[in-house]
Amino acid sequence: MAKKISVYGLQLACALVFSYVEFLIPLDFIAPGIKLGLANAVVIILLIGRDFKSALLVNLCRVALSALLFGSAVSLLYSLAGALVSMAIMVTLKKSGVFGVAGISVMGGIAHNTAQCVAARIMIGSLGVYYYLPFLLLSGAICGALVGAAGGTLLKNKNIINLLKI
Amino acid sequence: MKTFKKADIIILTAAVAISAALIFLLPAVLKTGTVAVISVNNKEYGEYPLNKDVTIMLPGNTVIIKNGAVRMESADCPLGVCQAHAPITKKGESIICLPNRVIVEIG
Repeated sequence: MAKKISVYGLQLACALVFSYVEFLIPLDFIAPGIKLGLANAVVIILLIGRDFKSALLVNLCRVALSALLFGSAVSLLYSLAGALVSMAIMVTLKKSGVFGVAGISVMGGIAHNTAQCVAARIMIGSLGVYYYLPFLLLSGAICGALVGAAGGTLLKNKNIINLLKI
Repeated sequence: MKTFKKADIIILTAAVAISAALIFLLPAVLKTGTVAVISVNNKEYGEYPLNKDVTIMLPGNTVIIKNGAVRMESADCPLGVCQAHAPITKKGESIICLPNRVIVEIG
């Protein structure tokens, strides 16, 4: 149990650092809320290399802490919406076996951004937010592929494999 | 699990192609607008014709209509994404200040 807590804690800290790094690289000139999605690297490693429960746990904690540290009540809502929808899509795709790690991450990124767009539509009440959807789809797909490729490579690393078995 | 299966390449290419197509086609398909509609906190604040140059001062944002285009001149929000947005002219385009809940839409 203590080992599990240490491993999850380590990965949560990693995800938070990734979130902070994203915060330092603003891509907002493309469309509001665009990010690299680096924290998803941790989530995907857990999801594919271990199980859905641990991935969900670390992801939700990351969402909460990251909103507390770098965000606001509103950003928590958007972050949560994106995280829940993308997790649902990714675990479904993992079970279906159609895609590899990169494909799952691509769909996760697209799902995440689409969910945030819909959340913005509900919060702001204007259809104008959908104007940004193509940009969000493009960045979600590309960033998803990059993060997924990184995750897939990391999953072949001996140390990571052993860590995930704890 | 493999990092890249065939399906992954297909979905990635499809996603990039579709979204890139949408990005380039949208401005051409949209018609030039006639009026800028500003709403604050989900309530309509005002409608301004695009052919008249005007400066609109909101509590935390300043919107300027000049030469048929609308832009966010200044805002007190932390990131200033709305200020960086290029001026808009077409129906359906919008500049949004999320923190201040200000929407400027072309109709």
